[in-house]
Amino acid sequence: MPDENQNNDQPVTVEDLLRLKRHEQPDEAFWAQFDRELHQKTLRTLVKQRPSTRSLWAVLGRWQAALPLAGAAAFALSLAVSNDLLKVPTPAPQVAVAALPTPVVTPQVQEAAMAQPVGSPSFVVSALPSQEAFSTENYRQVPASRAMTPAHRPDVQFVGGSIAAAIPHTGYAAGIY
Amino acid sequence: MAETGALTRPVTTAGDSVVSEDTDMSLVRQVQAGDVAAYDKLVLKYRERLYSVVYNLTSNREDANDLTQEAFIKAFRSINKFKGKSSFFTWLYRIGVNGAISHLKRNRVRRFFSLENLDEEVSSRDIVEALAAKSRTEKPAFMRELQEKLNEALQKLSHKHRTVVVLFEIEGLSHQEIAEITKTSVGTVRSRLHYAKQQLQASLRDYLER
Repeated sequence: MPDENQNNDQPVTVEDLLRLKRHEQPDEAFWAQFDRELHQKTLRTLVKQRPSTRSLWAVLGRWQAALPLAGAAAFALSLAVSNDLLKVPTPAPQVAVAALPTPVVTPQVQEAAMAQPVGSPSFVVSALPSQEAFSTENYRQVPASRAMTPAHRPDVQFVGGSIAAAIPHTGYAAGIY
Repeated sequence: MAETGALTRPVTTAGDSVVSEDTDMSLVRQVQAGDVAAYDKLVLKYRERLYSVVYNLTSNREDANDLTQEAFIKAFRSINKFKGKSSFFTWLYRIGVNGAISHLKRNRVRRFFSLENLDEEVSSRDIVEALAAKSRTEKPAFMRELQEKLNEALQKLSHKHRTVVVLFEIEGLSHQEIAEITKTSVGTVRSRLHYAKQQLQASLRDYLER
């Protein structure tokens, strides 16, 4: 192997110059980044190689753009259904209302209330304009930004939906307890 | 001239070479059997050398980074097809070189340099000291100029000639190994090397005559 530290008197050759390119090397940080990226790409390759997983990703990818639209449609449908339910008076909620404490709807408790376990009342206003709760003997109306399904809250039956029609002066949804 | 001038290659003797190839083949078999972690060892062993080849072919560190990773991914995907007819590194280099050349052909117009830093050690080399002493510019500026001219000269060569020069003069592979990687004869490798050096001699005349 030729010595790179050759005598100054010897003429410089093309080979001498090319050998200098061996010293163009990346630093350690480069290799750390390189390894990270390569690991991610290798994992992606492994996922792609499994047919069942591949089809799952393909389905998810295809529906990715439609997910917000589907969510909005589901919300609208739930509002429409609950609005219809509001028009049908049922005696059953009268039993439930006695079992629950009167909820206080304030913006401060709304976020925390969302995390409460099933069994205690929670109310959500979120970004909607401040609304007062409206109650009668048989049911209590609360502003809500989302539907509360029986599965989600077994002690609450969500019946409201239409913002203007369901609750004339307060809001968007009504819960009958 | 010596058949190989390897500085960067760990293979120094025929015995070592056989051991290295056996180890590679053993790791390849582990990967083929589903041990993905064994592939990490192959990556760790060859990443610098493969990157160096691709970098010297493209003179662009970002492209070299992507292309080297692509080569490793491609090798990983195809590893079940690797039967061991050639050594693993020859096979891997072939994937890397072909990927780099395809990239260069695709991006014939959009070409620019993005060079690695020369390490500190190189500035103390006698050859650099001698050239810098004859130059009117300061040593750091001279080093940058020399690095650019070297890369420029390499990029003027055709892909085939550049590949042979990079693999032989910079990576230190033998004519035989280069012939296997490029799927040509040893005679063709020698001929391309001879022609490429003539071209480089003309491009770098200013430095050779100092």
